[in-house]
Amino acid sequence: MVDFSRVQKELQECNRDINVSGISVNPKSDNLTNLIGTIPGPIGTPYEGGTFKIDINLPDGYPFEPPKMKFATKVWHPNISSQSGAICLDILKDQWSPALTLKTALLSIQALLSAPEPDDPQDAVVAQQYLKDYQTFASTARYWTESFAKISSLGVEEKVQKLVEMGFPEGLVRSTLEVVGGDENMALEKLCSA
Amino acid sequence: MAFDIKFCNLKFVSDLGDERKCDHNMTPSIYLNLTKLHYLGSIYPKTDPNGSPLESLDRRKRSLKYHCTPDRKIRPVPSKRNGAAMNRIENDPAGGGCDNAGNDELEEFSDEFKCCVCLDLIYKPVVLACGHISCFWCVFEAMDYWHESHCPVCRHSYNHFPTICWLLHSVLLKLYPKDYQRRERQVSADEKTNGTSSPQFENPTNPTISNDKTTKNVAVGDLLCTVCKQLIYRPVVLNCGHVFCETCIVDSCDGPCRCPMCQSMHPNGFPKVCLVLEGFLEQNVPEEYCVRKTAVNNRKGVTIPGSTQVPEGGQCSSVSIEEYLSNPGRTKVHFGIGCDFCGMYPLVGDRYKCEDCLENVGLDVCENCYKNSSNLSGRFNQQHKPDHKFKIVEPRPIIFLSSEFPEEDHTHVSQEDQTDDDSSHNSHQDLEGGEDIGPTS
Repeated sequence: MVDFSRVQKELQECNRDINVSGISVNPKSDNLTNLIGTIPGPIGTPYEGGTFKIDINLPDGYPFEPPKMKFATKVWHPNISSQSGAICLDILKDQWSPALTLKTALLSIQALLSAPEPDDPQDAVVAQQYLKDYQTFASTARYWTESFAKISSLGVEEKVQKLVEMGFPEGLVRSTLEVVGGDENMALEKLCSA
Repeated sequence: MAFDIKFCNLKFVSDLGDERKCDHNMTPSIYLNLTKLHYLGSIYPKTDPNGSPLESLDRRKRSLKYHCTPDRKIRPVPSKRNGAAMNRIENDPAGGGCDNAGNDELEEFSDEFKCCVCLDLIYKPVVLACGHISCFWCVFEAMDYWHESHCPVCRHSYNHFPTICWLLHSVLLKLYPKDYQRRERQVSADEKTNGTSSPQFENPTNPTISNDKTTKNVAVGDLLCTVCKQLIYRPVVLNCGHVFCETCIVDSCDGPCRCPMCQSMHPNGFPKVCLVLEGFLEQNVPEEYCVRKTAVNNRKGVTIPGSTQVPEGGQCSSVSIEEYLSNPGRTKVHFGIGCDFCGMYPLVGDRYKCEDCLENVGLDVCENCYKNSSNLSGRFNQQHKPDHKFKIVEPRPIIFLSSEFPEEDHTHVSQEDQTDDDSSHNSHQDLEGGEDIGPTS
């Protein structure tokens, strides 16, 4: 059985400094073995501005066995499967230690977002793109963040207004936004390069 | 001490070099001559042959000991208050009804004395050779079935389970009597449901701390090193749980150092200073500690043993497990069995099992302890008597259940992820499905 008194302590500790870390863990059901963690996308990365949800499953041996974690939010990253959300991270496997907690594991995942390891990939397609064509990788990652990890993205009208204020004609702004699927960053890139 | 290993997902290479896959009908004797183990855990794709444990087996081990924890429902967290208040609310459901008594005035214990594993006040402290402290059961649970274990905090490797540090136990009891007693109730309730037992504080040779309730401070007289008869300076805790000044431990070049008090060996390398204990000494008796510090620093020509480079790990009283694996056919490894006297886990070499101890956990000692120690006692409170008889027991056969060993490529193509997950899931089911086939020993 999972050591639930420890899990409860962890939840409190983690949610106490949520304003500092931005990381939260909340139970999904009432038996404390299924939890949902959220991490903010690190600043200065294509994941910036996104909020990523992570599915946490505690095995019977927790904390002596690593928690099972995978992304519930779709994410474009060399070490995270774009299909299943599976994470390739040593501390979630053989480098786990009972002194680690759900919060420290989530912090490591956040660090993984800012420092991908393309040589040890989980998703070969993404890793290849990362190595061969970083620009495309970054814009895809940004697009995925925009599409899947934004809790409250700007409304279409606000985006249009923002871009029009930058000096682009409204008609072109609307059509470009439509082409890129509503991503204002990508639209801006496209408008600038046009 | 012994815990059942019944199931695992191993492939082995015999002396002759032929690789066999095993099914449950093979006779156990075939496996006695195991020489090289390959872990084929589908969960740990990066595992190397001498690396980390197989997840699914590890899970069996845990569940063997964990079946007791009652299911607990979550309680809504009332509001964000300070840590102690939260703990108080928290501990009510955690410890069951018996915890409620005296809960109204729990002390706020310092984070230093929080066990990094159970995140509660350390109960029956065990100090590892690297100086990090955990609870007795937390250390035991975190130890590796198959290989050397690693400190949860710094990953320092060790293969001997240290004895409880009774000095630290008394210090904690003195500092946080209510919280410590709450932990005691909690742990003994767990032990009761588990059918296990941890050592009781009864040995008269262990230092005690006078139970003077008027002051919260521990008197200097209770914190003396038995070698130099002065306040312990830079405390190190040996495998036997005794505490000395770092400078009072003789670092013998040929082999592990010995405890000046009980003469038992300290096999986990030269001990590092226990910083938590040192911090406590500095805070509890600042003036006296400062005096000791200047005195030691002024003594010229004294080398602090820790400063001379001692190679990390590997200094064991016996053949290390890693050595065995790389040097097959020489020694026996008793997976899941530990020596009750020196704490070697898993036990390497000849295993002497007490025939008369009736406890489930049994009493086992290694060859070295059997031959060199006259007064053997158990680590789990076994009622062992000097007239009990020992017999040599061969390593237990390991029964292989899963005949299919999924070879897993570490690099996944994303489309395969889902199928990978499925296959690992299936192999667990196989393991659990065949539960009743293993031997009962």
